[in-house]
Order: sequence, then structure tokens, then C-alpha cells
Amino acid sequence: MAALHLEKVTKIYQKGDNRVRALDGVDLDIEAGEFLTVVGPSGSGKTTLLNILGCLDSPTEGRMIYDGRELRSLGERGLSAYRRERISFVFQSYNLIPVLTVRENVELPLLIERKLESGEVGARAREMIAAVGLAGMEGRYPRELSGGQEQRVAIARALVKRPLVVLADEPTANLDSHTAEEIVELMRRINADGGATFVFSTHDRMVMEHARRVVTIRDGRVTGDERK
Amino acid sequence: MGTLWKIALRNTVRHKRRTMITAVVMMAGISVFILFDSMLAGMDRMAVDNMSDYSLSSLKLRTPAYVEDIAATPLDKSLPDAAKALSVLGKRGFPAAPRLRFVAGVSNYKDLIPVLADGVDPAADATVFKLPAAVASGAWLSPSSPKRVVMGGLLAKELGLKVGDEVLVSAQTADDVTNADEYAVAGVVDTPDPQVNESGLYMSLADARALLATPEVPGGFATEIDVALPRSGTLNGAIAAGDEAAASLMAALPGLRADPIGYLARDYLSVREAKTKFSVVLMLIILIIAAVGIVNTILMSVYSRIREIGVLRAYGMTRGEISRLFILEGFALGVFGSFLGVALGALLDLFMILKGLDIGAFGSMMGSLPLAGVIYGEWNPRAMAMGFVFGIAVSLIAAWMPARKAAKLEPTAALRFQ
Repeated sequence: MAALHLEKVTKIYQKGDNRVRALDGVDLDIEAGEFLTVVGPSGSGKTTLLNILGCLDSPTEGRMIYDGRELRSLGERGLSAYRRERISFVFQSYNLIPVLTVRENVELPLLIERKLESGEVGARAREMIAAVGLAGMEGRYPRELSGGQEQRVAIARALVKRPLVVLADEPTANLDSHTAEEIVELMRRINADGGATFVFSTHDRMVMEHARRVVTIRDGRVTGDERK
Repeated sequence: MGTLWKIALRNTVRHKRRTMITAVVMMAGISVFILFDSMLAGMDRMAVDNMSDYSLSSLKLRTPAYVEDIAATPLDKSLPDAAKALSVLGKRGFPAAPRLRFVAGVSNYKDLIPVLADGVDPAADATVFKLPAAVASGAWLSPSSPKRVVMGGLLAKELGLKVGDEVLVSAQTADDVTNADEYAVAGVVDTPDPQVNESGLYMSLADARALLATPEVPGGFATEIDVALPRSGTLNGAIAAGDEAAASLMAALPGLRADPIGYLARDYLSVREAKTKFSVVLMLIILIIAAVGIVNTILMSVYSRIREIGVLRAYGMTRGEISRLFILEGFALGVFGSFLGVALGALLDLFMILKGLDIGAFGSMMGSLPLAGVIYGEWNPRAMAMGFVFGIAVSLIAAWMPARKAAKLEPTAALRFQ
């Protein structure tokens, strides 16, 4: 069975008197270790799909089965717990916690998860910081880093807890093309080395070219699913 | 919890101006409370000390029947054996003096003013009261100079009398007959106790006994024995020591009643509780103003960190943990503001204890309170602890509302926030 399985997932938002169908019967299977990008025009439903994949939002209709487990029945706390253990995020604006150092930002998901001893947390964080090429910068604050470095920290933060899936909403949108390419290369390498599943939404052609699978979405429906 | 603490504390430090403004308002509230409490305690101490020194003494020995009928100052309910009681007190090392209290009319031959007069043993009285030292003109009573009176300064002024003038003192005798006699004004006292100044009239015990035609009793006729107890460090200490001495004396002198200062000054002390409540209300008003600032500070913190809240929620923090994060920020603010408040309050208190506040300039505002001179503060760790705890409690309550708001944010909406 696929690691992530969406079956006829529909998401309807109520905006005033209007009902907006952001996702409309989406069927999608994502295997463990995939490097997949979701593309489509603005307002097509990419972010909604990522939010649902990330358990940040629940579908109005349809089923979500993650790692063999039906998630629809999970309430607010259950979804929080599932995110805590299995899902990580990389954001367009990096969204590092400004009052925490690089090391503390990377440690954060492990501290929220509360599964490891503090010594192990520190070791795992240092290992991830080195993996994204920021060894020696553990004590710096986000304001002391470039955009590319911040995104590397965000990637280290996303991977440190060894999640089932890493969801990245336009991770290169705020980066120059050279840095963007470095970041995508980094994620690809980590994907190849560690097997973490990556799902991106992007407008960036370069990111699409690096992806091994491109899912196209339009008006809330999957209109294309190309594997390379 | 450690991570929440770290984020909360660092955010408190990061927004220095916001934190300082809120902490300063809290500091003002708590330090004013501590200062006010210290001043009130100092005023109470001074008032009770003055009452002990000039009018009430630290403890009075009387018969229970006399106290029950005290409004009438009955001469038929006097002490059965004053000498025995004085002997017991002498053995315990307590300075004591017999007094004969009676209602008198004092007249300058034109006007008559009713007063509560005291027949006193001039030498013994000087060991219990500070009246001899408060003589502003003339001299204190002397056993060798009979038919003399010492009167309060305002009473003398009211009657237009000065040292050496003659006054007519009238009273009901023990046989309920009106008697009167002439006395020379030996001295005029000016004390911090307005009651003494307005209506104090003192003559020797022998003169009072003669005026009132009191019967012969063992140890001499007296209605009360006034006792000076050793001074205590604080007012509460003085009250407790008085209660203890009273209980012990009543056991040693059956048939007599011993009333300590806590009982004698009960009317004044009951007002004291109201004043304490007033100072707590004053602190609460200032802290409520600070609470508005805390709500504002935490709300600003929530609004400036909405995306951060989204990230924390995305990584699995529960609503409860998000709420705790901002409550901890309020707690940190509360501890900081309360610490500053207690520190400033303690400094002001120290100044009040060492230098005091001269209330001479406010004399007319003191009314009938027995206060004059310099009021010194009293160190009250309980008030400081109370200010500290109140400050933190108000901060926690103030942080709760914005913390709840933060916890209610949907992660998707928080992450979209620009």
C-alpha cells in the first residue's frame, strides 16, 4: 500500500454566501521515498492539497490513509499528534523561530515530539546541521543568516525527526536561482540518501525538472500525473 | 516545557521596550503599595505609641465592674487594693502608676468645659507616661506643691489660661454631691495626642481624693493602675506582648481585669484594618491598569508571531501548549515587573525606615489622630510577598485572554498570515 493514499478527497470552503470547492474528488497515491512536485496555476488548490497532506486541514469528503492508517477519525489532538510524529514542513518564508539559534530551531521538532533524551536531541540536530552544510553555524540566530542558509536550517529542522513525509510549499520562491538550485539539490540528495518522501508545490520550472514525479492540479482536480 | 520557557523568556527580552513599559507600570503599583503599607504601619505604630505614652498606657488594671460601667467613670467600683497590685507589678519589673479618673468641669470663672480628669501620682506617673517631658510651659506636678493642675495646651487656650492662673474644678463626689475647688495652673502640656491637648487635666492623687471625698481603702483610692510594658519592635509585637502580659497579670491578680493596648486602642486599630484594605485596593487599581498593559503586550506578541504560531502548530504543538507559551510570557513579565516593584518598594521603605517623613507640614490634616513629628516606616516582608504574588497573579490573568486567542488560531490561517 502507498505511504500516503487520498481517495476522492474534496475540500469545500465557505466564503460568505459562496461555497468554494478548493479540492474536488482528488485521488492520489504517494509512495515512500518519492520526490514529487505539485504544480498548477495560482488558486488551483496546491496549497489546500498540501495542507490536507500535512494534516493541517481535514477534507470535507473523502478518505486519507497514511501509512495504513485512516486519519479521518482523528480529532484536533490526534492530528496534532500525527503531525508531531510523522510530518514535517518547509515554508516559502522559512519561518524559523527568530529567538532560537540554528541548533535550537533544528532541535525544536524533537523537543515538541519529546521522544529522545536531550543528549540524543543535540547529537541529531548537529548531524542534520552538518548534513545541510551549516556546521559551525549552530549558535547563530536566523537574523544572522542569508535566505539560502535560513532555508537550509528549515530543511534540517524538517528532517531531524525523520518524518514520513516532508511537505514544502514553494520552498525556492524567495531564493535567487543559484541558491534555489542548491536547495533543491540538497533536498534531492537527502531524499536519495535517507529515503524521506518530499512533496513540493511550486511554480519554479527548475524544481519541476528535478522532480521525479509531477502532479498537475487545476480547479481542484488532478489533471496530470507524470512520472520521470 | 523547557522549550516553551526558552521561547517565552527570549521573546520577553527581545521586545525590550514593550516589556519595560509594562514592567514599569507594575513596578509603580507594587512599590506604591509597599510604601503605603509601610507608612500606614509607621503611622499606626506612632499613633499607638503616642496613645500609650500620653493617654492610654500599655496596659490598664481595673475592676471588671468599673470597665462595664466605664462611661459613667463610677467611683464606687474602684480598685480594692491598689498597693497589692502595684507590688505584683513591681516584682515583675513593670513601671506602674495608680490613677483616679473622674468627670470634671474646669472653669475660668466665665466658661466651663467638661473634661475627663486624672488624679495622678506625679512621680510614679512619670515612669509610665511622657507627660512631664511634654510640659510646654510651667512644670509637671510635684507632691510638695498641692492644689495645682496641669492641663492640655488647647484646653488652656480655649479657657484663656496660662501658668499661674487660677481655675475652678468641679466634680461629683463619691457621695454624689457636687464639689468644687480652686487650683493653680502649674503647667501646660503639648503632646502628639490631640485628646490630651484638648481635654487633659491632671492633679495629684491627694488633691483628687480630697475633691471627690473618696473613702479610705487599702493601698489608697484609685480607679486604675496604668502599666508601661517594654517596647516591642513592631506594632503587632507590642499587641501580642500586651495580650500575653494581660493574661499573666489576670492570673496573678484575681478579681482584677487587665486590658492591654490591643484592647484599649481597639477603635483606632479597627480603622487600621480598613486602611490596609484601602492600600490593597489601591494596589489592585494600579495593577489593573498594568493588566491592560500586559494584555496589550501579549496581544502584540501574539499578532507579531502569528506565523510562528502556525509553524509550532504545524510541527505538532497542541492548542494547550501554544496557550501555555503566551501565559509563560505573561508570567515572565509578571515576575520581572513584580521583582522591580518589590525592589523599588523595599528601597522606598528603607528610606522611610531610616529617614522617615516629617508630617509637621500636614498637622492640620491629621485631625484627631495622635500623630506628630516624623513618621518612620515599618519593614513588612508580608506586604512585599503579597505585592509580588499579586503582581504575578494579575499578569497570569491578563495573559490568559490573548493566550487563548493564540491557541484558537487555525494553523492554516496562521501560516497564510502576512
